[in-house]
Amino acid sequence: VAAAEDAVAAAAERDRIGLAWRPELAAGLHEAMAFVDALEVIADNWFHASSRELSALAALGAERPLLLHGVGMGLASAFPVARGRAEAMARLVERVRPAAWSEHLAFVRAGDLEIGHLAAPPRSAETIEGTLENLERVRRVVGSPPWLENVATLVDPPFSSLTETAWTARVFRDGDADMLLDLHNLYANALNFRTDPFAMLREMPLERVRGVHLSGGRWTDHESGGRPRLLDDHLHDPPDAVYDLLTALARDAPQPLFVIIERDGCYPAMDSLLLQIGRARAALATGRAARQPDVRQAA
Amino acid sequence: VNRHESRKRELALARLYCDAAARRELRAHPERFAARHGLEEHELRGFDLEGLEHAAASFAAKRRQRHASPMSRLARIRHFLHRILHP
Repeated sequence: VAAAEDAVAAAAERDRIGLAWRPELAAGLHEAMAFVDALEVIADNWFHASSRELSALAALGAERPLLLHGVGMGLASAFPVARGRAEAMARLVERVRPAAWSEHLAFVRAGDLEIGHLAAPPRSAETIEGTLENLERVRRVVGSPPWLENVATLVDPPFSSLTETAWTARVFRDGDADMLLDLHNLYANALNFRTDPFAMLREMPLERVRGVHLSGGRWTDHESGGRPRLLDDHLHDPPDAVYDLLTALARDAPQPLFVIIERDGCYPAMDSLLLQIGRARAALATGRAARQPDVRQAA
Repeated sequence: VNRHESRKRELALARLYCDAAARRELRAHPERFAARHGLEEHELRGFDLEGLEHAAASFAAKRRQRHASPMSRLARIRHFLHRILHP
């Protein structure tokens, strides 16, 4: 029993909570690094950086575990990922030596038509096949597999024959990949398509989760009318429910987690972001503590 | 459905996300939209049309946001480096 409890405690000690680095946060972050365990940067913004700029990024990575987050590959597609994009990621990974790199389970273009953002793919056997081929393609080029992130969607993806969780579980099972679980994306999809977010969480491949994103959003009210939907805009603080989901995840997934708070605008003061880090730390601790009786029972 | 069919669907979907005229055609004349994109009309049944509008508006906003960004990518990196190198 003591050994099992030690294992849970050790996992809790290895949890890392940090921020998505953005230029607008750089100054405040410099002063607040003592409270930040890890940093994540948008990889695509560094693909064409100079050697000097990459040295600065590598120096940042030497100070704290660094995660590279890709946004442009479009892995969840029947179209193959452009080799150039995978090679750019490979060069960056080689230069910066991150703790991990990640990409989205999204399609961002079809042929030459750029959507401009991350779109949920049709959830079908065919897109699973395409995703797995793309995953293998980038794994070969980069030398390591990405953590794959679930995406938010305002539309129930047309041409789908599977639920989000069934589609996701099959990708991770057949792709042997690790997961970057965005809890606000999960929460938004659950609310938009009238599912219980905690039930949805339980259906995700939790044993694969290595990273977690926390963010916020707002309700949209499109001019065409209809019911509002929750948009994951990264411009608002994470809602309480997202911290509750983090607690549930920490209870059900014993492995150490990297938890990153994402913000892409309407930046609050650094103190406010540090409070969010503190809330995430407390939510994780609550979940880890709740796991103890289960471990004792199993032992 | 083979790979070719799957790509046709993604192309149709990307068009719907990016093009208001395509969405209008889907609503008013689904048979024409299907024919234009090499799809069967029955494949378009049950589309979440309301969600499609929400998603299209969101993607359009993202594209505008990217173009209107006051600080270029390079300028942002320079800003970061300046902070790191000259704290």
